[in-house]
Formats: sequence, structure tokens, C-alpha cells
Amino acid sequence: MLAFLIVIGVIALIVVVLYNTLVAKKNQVENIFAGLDAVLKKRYDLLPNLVASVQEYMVHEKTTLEKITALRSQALQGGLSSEAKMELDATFSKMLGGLMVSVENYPDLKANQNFLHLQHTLSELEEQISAARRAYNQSVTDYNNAIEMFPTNILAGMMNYTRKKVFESLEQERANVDVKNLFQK
Amino acid sequence: MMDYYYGNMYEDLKALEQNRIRIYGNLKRYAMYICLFCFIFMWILSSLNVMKGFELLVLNVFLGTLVFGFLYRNEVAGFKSLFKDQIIEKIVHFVDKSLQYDKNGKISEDEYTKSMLFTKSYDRYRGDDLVSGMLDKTSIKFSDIHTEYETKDKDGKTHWHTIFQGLFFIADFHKDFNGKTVVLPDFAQRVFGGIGSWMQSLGKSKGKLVKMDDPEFEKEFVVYGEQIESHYILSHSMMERILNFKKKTHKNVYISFIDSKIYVAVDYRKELFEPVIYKSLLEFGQIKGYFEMMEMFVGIVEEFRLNTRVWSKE
Repeated sequence: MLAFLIVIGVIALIVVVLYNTLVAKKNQVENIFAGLDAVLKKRYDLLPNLVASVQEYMVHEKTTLEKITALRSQALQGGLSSEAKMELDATFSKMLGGLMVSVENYPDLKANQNFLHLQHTLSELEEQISAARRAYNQSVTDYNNAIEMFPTNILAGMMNYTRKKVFESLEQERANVDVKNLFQK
Repeated sequence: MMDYYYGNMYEDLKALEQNRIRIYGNLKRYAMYICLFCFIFMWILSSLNVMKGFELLVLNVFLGTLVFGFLYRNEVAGFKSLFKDQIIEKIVHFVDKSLQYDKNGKISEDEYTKSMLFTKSYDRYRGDDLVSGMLDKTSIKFSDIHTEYETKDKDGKTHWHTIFQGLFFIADFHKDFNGKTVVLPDFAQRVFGGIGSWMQSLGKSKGKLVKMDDPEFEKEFVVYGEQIESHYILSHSMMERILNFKKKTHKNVYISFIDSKIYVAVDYRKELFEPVIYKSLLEFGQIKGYFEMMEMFVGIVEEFRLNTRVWSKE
């Protein structure tokens, strides 16, 4: 009888530990996403200033600027799922990146102190965002591993935990700029 | 380097070499006298039947070593100091003219403790050969550091154990941050694999365990700190550079990032920049070793690109 109780006790203990590990991993993902969201918001907050300082110069980019502004207001609406936020961010990053490249066509703008300051702030934020994305992806990988690997997968199934998505744009960011290739184009 | 060696150092080295040969000769003579004296002493005591056999031998070896140690220190102290003034200082200035060298200076105990690299409390803190200065935008300093703790065995005899001995380096970091990120050699994961990494997550004294997204780095090092900030500091290129640096030194490397500073400790388990008494100073290979070591330490700034500032920290 005693042996039976001990076995039950040990099993209960294992279940508790596994359960806690899973919850900790899930919270970790949410926690890091909140951190990521905070830096993303900082970038969105910077946008009105940026648009204000570039629009008089970038006459040909009017539609892009409008689109970016629209994306921003969409992103700042409440009640978005994290997947939706991630998708919005990917589009936003791409458009902003494109806009920064086209700055090259406006020499006057490149000399504008106010714009330069904004550009510096933006590139600093980009670096923080990239760090947050990497941290997020790492924690999601951890979480996904836990819910697919034995024995935590059994418990995860009962708790209705499902796989989470990682940021995919990272691969592109990670690749080094191939200067030679750029010149050949 | 060769030009500098022959132009600025060779004459001093020749004079020092004379000094070294004299000291080396003296030491050999002392050793001989001590052996002779011990022998006579042993012979007298055993013929008087005061002591004999093994006990006598132990007593003699003990006394002999003590006397020789005393004489050795006395003889070598002056030479060491001259060697540092004339040779090491020149090597420092060869690597970068603006650097200052203080043979008696060391990284302060406060800074050592603040780095959080070695949390074990120490009973003895020693160091010398402080090099400091500004390289472009980055202020750096480093010195030799040796920390030890004390234990007593059941006979009340004191034993000293080394916690860390080697290079301790501090510089401004090129990114601003508020938290603390500590990168330590991953002994547990190397030995125990996955269980090791689970064990690490239990120890919370240094902060939360952070998993990094570079498998090779993750295998060699364990990172404690705040999730997002650690990734911000340890970019992919930074992790690669740390791995390269570790490969170059062949030693255990400890790194922390605290209050916008980087702390690097390389565990050499020996004193750096000390002269070798039983080898000729005139062999270039001997002096080259000091040059290379100094260049590598100052090169940390270049290696970790500490002068390439992010916009906000220009």
C-alpha cells in the first residue's frame, strides 16, 4: 500500500513539474512578445514625425507614405492577435525599408538635420526590434519543442496548447549584404 | 616589430641579460651551498642521534626550500621591476603610444566584484601590470588579477585555492543598456548535455538563463540576463566574435556587460608579463610572446568592434 502511494506521489510530482514547465514556457513567449510589442510601438510612434519631415521632399512617394500611415493606424488599433501583429509588422518593416532606400533619390532630404536624427533613431530602434524578434523566436522554438516532445506533449494536448509561429523575415536580415553582388546588378 | 625590437629595446635587453646571467649564477650557487649545508647538518644530527631517517630528510627539505625561496625573491625582485620598466613598458608603447602602463597598478576590487564574473567570495586579491588609455572613442584598462580563497584542513593548515588568475579587461561598450548580461563558459552543458542546461536554469544568482540563437555559441557559453536585452547586446556578429576570441586564446573566457561596459576575463592560470629567469632574454621568440599577448589584449577593442558606435552613443 505504501509503495503504491509513493508511486502515485512521484507521478503527481512529475505531472506538476511538467505542467509548470509548460506554463512557464508559454508565459515566457507572451512576456517577450510584450517586450517586442513595446519596441514596435516606439517605431510606430516615430512615424508621424518621420512622415511630417519627409513628405515635402518626397513628392513621388506620396502613395507609399499614405500606405505606411494607414498601416500604422491599423497596427495601433486594439484587439489584434499576435499573429496579425506579426504580419502587420512584416509589411510595415518592408515598406519602411523601401522608403529609406528611396531617400537616396532626394539629396536635399539627406542633408536635413531633423531627418538625419530621425533616421538614426529609427536604425537604433530597428536593432532593438531585431533583438526582440530573435528573443521571441528563441522562446517560441523552446515552447514548440516542449509541446511536441514526449512527455510534455501529452499534457500540452490536454491543455490545448498549440504551436506558435516564429518571425520568418529573420533569414533575410541575417544574410550579410553582398556588396559585390549589388554592384553587378 | 623587429625594427622596434632592435632599435629601441635591444640595448636594454643586453644590459638586462647581463643582470639575468648574474642572478641565475647566484641562484645556482645558493642552491649548491644550501644542499651542502643541509648535507652537513643532516650528518651532524644523525651522528648525534637527535633525529634520524625520514623525519630528518623532511625537516631538511623544508628548511632548504624556505631559505632558497627567501633568497630567490630577494634576488629576482629588482630584476623583475627593471624588466617591467624597461621592456614591458616599451612593448605597451609599441602597441599604442597613448596607453599608460603602471607595473604596480591593478583593476580595483570594486570593479572585479561589479563584473559579476566570479561570484565566489575571495580572501586574497592581488594584481599588477595595469595598462590603461583611450583607443579612439573607447576607454580601456586591463591588468593581471589573481584571486584566491582560503580553506583550513583538519590539522589547521591553510590552503589557498585560485578562483581566477589571468587577464582582466574593462572597456566602454558601444551600445547603451541598463541591465546585466553575463556570459560564462558552459561547463555543465559540455559535460552533461541537455541535463546540464536544465541544471543551469535552476541557478538564479546571476539572473535568468537566456537561450541564444546560435548553436555553437550556446554550446560553449551560458548566458544570464534579461531576454531581449541579451539578444540586443549579443548580436549574431558579436557571438561569432566572442567564439573567435575564445578559439584564439585557447582559454576559458568570461564576459559580462554591465552599465554600458564590457568586462572580459581570460583564465590563464599564470601571471602574465613576468620575466623568465632561466631563459635568455636575447632570444627574439621569448620577447615576441610578450608582444603578441599585449597586441591581443589591446586588440579586444578591434576584435569586438567597440569603436563602431551605434547612433545613439556617438
